[in-house]
Amino acid sequence: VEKISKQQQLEVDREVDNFISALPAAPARPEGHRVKKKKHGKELKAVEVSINSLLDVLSVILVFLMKSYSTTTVQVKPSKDLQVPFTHSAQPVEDSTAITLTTKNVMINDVPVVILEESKVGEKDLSHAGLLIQPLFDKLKDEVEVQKRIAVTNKKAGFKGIVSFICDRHIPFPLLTQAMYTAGQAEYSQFKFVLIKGDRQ
Amino acid sequence: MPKSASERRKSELGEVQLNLNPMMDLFAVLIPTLLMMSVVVEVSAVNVSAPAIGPSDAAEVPKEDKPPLNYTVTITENGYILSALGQPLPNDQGEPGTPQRPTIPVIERPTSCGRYRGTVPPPRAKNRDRSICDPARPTDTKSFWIYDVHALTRRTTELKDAYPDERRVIIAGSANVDFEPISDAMDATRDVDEKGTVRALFDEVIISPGN
Repeated sequence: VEKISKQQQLEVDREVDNFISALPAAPARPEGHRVKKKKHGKELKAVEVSINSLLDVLSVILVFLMKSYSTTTVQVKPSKDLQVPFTHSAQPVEDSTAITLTTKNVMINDVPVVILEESKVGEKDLSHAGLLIQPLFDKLKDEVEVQKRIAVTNKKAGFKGIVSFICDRHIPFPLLTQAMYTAGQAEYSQFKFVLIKGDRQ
Repeated sequence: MPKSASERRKSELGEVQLNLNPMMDLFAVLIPTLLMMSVVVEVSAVNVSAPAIGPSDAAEVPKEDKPPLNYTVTITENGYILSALGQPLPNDQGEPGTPQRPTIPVIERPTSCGRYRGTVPPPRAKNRDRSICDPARPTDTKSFWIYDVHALTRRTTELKDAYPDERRVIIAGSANVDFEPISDAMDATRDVDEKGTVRALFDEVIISPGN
């Protein structure tokens, strides 16, 4: 037996490598294709998962959601503390500052400004003979200032003085009148109640 | 079976597949975002005027010879007290409405729970001893004390017939009344459905702090 040297062995290996690299590459398996292994001696065909129909469904859902998406700043998000009563009015809601009166707090544009105690404003937060809610007034004045500053550069977004009240059905009437009086003192002149659209009683 | 010309061409050139995965990723982000931001409930607006603190301008100087109607609906725990031209309107017994004997008293009636899931209808102080409407069973009907909104609409329509030019209603409430009967009274006095035709009644609402 003729022994081959290490040098010869390396040369043979290099030639084999060159030969293999010269062979045409096997076609890449496309994404989503799966080749099933042999089962019971049979070669099964590649299974392709079609996502086209899923894409169609998603397109329809997306269009529907974009159509129903509301761009108004006044939005009602019912919760345990905010159960809004019904109305048969069909008047649309306008863009405005939203004051939300829940059983727990008073919010301006969904930001809490006053915490209520048993649906009442604490004595320390009241002024003007118990009619004006001071923290609410301060925040509303800030909001008015911001809207007026925007109006200087953007005439379309001028300060209209509209305020929308989103009220829980259980809030006491005095709290509502206090909030309305406070908004009136903060230069708001048009008041709207936002209610859930329902059938006539 | 021999392949058709198009099939042969396709197999020779290799099928071009559009990679839809990035689009799917985009949809997977957009749809949950829109679902979170979408408004679940449909809302409507009701215009009101500021509470009349102190003497009201409307009540002072009449523009014409006719005195202003000053139609006022005061909501108490016992019912609606109606007044016009500064006088309380009589109740069914012919007596002027008072807080104890209002013009339209509350009535006890089987009421659908559809509007009052998880609570009781107003006046809630009178229904305190009743069991609340089960949120899971909105079709239930229970006996409750309720405000007679139909009678309020009827009396308001009669008043509108007598004073067709008047549009203003003042809605006041006692301190123990909550918001829901206020909004119900606004609905009942704003318009009426007369056999499919909506007729406007008193659509200018002034909220008054009452007494």
